[in-house]
Amino acid sequence: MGKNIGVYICDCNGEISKTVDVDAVSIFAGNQDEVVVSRVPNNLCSTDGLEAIKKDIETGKVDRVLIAGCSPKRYDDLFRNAFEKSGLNRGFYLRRNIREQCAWVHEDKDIATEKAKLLVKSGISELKLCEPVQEIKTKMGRTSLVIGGGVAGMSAALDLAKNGFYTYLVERDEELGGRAFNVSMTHPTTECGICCIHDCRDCVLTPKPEEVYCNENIDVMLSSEVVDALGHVGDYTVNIKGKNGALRAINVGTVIIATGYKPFDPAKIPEYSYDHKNVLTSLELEKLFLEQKPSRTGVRRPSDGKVPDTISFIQCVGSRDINKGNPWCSLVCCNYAIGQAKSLKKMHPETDITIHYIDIRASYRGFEEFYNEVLAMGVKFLRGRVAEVQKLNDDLQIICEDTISGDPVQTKADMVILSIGMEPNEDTKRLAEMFHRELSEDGFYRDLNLNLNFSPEARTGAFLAGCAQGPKSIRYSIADGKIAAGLAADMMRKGYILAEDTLGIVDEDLCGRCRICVSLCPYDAIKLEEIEPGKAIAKIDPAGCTGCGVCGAACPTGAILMSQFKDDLIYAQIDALSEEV
Amino acid sequence: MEKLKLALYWAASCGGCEIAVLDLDEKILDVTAIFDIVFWPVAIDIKYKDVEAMPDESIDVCLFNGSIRTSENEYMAHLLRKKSKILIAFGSCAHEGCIPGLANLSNRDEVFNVVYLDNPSTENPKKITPKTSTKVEEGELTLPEFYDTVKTLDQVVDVDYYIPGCPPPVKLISDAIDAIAQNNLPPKGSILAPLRSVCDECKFERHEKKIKEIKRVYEVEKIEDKCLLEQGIICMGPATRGGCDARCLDANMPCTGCGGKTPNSPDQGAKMISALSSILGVEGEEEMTEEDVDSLIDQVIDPVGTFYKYSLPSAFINRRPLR
Ligand SMILES: Cc1cc2nc3c(=O)[nH]c(=O)nc-3n(C[C@H](O)[C@H](O)[C@H](O)COP(=O)(O)OP(=O)(O)OC[C@H]3O[C@@H](n4cnc5c(N)ncnc54)[C@H](O)[C@@H]3O)c2cc1C
Ligand code: SF4
Ligand code: SF4
Ligand code: SF4
Repeated sequence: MGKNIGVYICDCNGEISKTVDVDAVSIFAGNQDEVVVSRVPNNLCSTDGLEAIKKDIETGKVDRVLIAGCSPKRYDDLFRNAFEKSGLNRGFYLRRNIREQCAWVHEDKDIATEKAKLLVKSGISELKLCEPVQEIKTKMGRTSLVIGGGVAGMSAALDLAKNGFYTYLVERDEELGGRAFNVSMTHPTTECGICCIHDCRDCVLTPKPEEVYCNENIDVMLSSEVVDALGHVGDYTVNIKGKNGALRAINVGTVIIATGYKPFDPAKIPEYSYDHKNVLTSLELEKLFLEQKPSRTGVRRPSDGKVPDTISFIQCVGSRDINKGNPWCSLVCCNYAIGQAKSLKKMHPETDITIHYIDIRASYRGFEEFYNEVLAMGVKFLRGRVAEVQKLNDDLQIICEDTISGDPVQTKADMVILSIGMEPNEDTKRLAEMFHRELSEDGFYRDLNLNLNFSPEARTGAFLAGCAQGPKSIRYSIADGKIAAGLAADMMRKGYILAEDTLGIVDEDLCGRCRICVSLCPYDAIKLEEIEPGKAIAKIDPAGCTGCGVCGAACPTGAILMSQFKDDLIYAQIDALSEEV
Repeated sequence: MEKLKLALYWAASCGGCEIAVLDLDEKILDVTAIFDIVFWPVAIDIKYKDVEAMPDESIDVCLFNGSIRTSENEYMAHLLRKKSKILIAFGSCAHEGCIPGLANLSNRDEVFNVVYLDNPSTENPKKITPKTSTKVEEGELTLPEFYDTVKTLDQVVDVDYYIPGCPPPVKLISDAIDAIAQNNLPPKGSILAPLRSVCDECKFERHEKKIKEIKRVYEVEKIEDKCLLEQGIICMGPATRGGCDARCLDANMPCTGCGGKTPNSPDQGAKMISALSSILGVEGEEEMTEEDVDSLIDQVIDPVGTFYKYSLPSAFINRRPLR
């Protein structure tokens, strides 16, 4: 097949042309071997820009396309899909970045232009050697595994089941429900759509454990944990350890990780005297709320059972605190503290309640109004991070500075409530490795895998829901579960997936069976295959391989090559880049 | 049938390749049945001028061993190329440069200094070192020029085939002779050895390879019955072309790499370094500090001698900078 290369240089609305002489680059490209078209269409990513290229493809003028413009991370799908529709194989489309790598980093026009020429030249030399990308069809199991039976996990499982996908739900605890089932209210605002007459457990909008247990499409495994998993998107074999240590292996196509969070341990901040009986975390206060609910006796302070005259809330315990806690905002604590203050005020109108805060983050619909309502009820808000909670026998004393007035503050409190924040759950890292997801610096799951320049879900079949992905409220955790279920269902519906063959390939004639590659693959895609008794060579499963290149770098024989990044292609680029233009 | 004409020559080499030919045992009789040996300085009395007098391409096959380190080596490479139909780089020195090639870590002056001046067993008060030309009463004496850089045969002349090994294993030599006799040679440029690496022929069991430390052979008390790399010993087997029946491994010694690079590998040492760094200290990698990594790597004593023992002249970076 002839190589008719079209080179299209983008001026990016002046962004590129202000530092790169795009016409000179275009003339230069036009003079290279096998380049039949070289043009500077205005604004390539616009409809007009694209149409011009598509026409060249459709009329058969060009059969390989090089775009020199912005970063290939931008508009890649747009270009690919547009060209593919015009009949160009994905393997014959390449990008070179002359915006971020030339125009934006150089001031000297000559230098930027020379560099752009070099990059274009390397692209042309790569394009000459490119091979078409093939699509391969691989297995996609139609069952799913949800890990974690909190509100997020339950809502995901119910939605999957409703859509006809058999779902395993693995919960570490003895019952479903997660943390939300130990709180008395679901962010009790009048406008959130959640009435707050009931416990969260009974609320119409919360997914119910009973519903999950009764669903014939859901297999609930309580007191169970994932031991290990082998495989990849579409085909995971997962070992689960049940109640009495019994092991069970299941095969699933997708996984939803909904393992929630771990509350911050306030003992890490000794100044807050968490070891004192009358210093409670907000979760412990929730327990008191729930305990008194049948009798409606109100909250009593733990040490002596008296109705507290003064209660102080301390916000941001473990959150927004780079010295003793975590840098992030836990998002829900302002709101639940306001809710708890309101409940307390209703129970004990005489009680003096102060919320010590840094800023009040009353985001989400209805919360600002809710904050104002509680303010009107007489709950006090005092700005400034609390320095210390001193113990005075049964009582406590708060030391802080009112940062609005600048005055030092010393107030007594019968009870202190610590508004603790959220941290990543213990198992997060282990599960991330198992299902090929990455963690962010904060330890929660990362939305995007940095080493996969595309949707991590598509490559891993592992979805995230709820607080496993970062702090959120119950409502949004439930919504998250629904989204993850929808995406997973979409993926499983067809029963197969189409993947591009941009992956590692083992040359069977060269594999020396050293096994260096096998355990290195981060996606468990390398298996051993017996070619004769006792001789097993490495074999890459195209369904699992993401083309990351780890094995190719490790293989000492050169048996493994990346199908779209073969050595000759890379050498050709190096040669092009090291010549003068 | 007329016998084929065979030439054998040694350039910069240790002589082991010559012995390897004799190692053929009774197969040597086949050789003499098929070939007339027209040139073999180590065995028959014949001079360069006799070769010069031969018509071009009159030698059917020339087995050329040794690397190119002097002007004499280079001259003979050109001469034998011209006189031979098939020129075979025989053995690691001609193929990839081998031990003489490690001299590319220094230069002529440094080599002369060690060999002729600065070493405990040499007495050389007049500080005489070899010169290409020396005037004596009787006239001028000449010696070949000693180069700064050692080259492989194919860096000097066009080579048709390669037989790897230090020295080449008997099996590879005898297979090559059979292929020549039956006119059954593969395409020009081929290496007359199997495609797969030494591991493919190795007796040791292998498992996952994630290693924590590197040991030298003497530091391992008892060699276990499993892949040496897994025991922390650097074995070049995975990056080295087989054909040797993994004989070193049979003797519980690691492969040191004489078979040269494998088919898809541009640089044997680089491939092995890349492989080793992929598996060394991968467990707990994230917790490691720069210093931890350095001290892991410092366990490799003599990296060039380990990874490029036989292939420095043919490597991407093939010598120390001259200045
Ligand atoms: C003090 C406090 C008060 C709060 N109050 C409110 C409020 O009033 N209103 C509101 O909307 N939100 C509130 N929140 C937030 C709320 O708790 C979360 O939004 C919600 O619980 C998140 O649900 P989830 O399903 O993502 O996680 P979780 O509720 O944490 O559920 C995770 C489930 O996964 C299980 N699990 C964990 N690891 C594994 C594993 N490896 N294998 C198997 N199972 C596992 C756990 O046992 C748990 O059942 C509060 C949070 C805190 C810290
Ligand atoms: S590292 Fe290379 S030679 Fe070894 S098993 Fe893997 S593919 Fe084969
Ligand atoms: S390129 Fe290799 S290491 Fe990476 S996913 Fe594919 S098989 Fe695994
Ligand atoms: S690395 Fe060495 S010991 Fe291990 S299998 Fe290969 S040749 Fe054998």
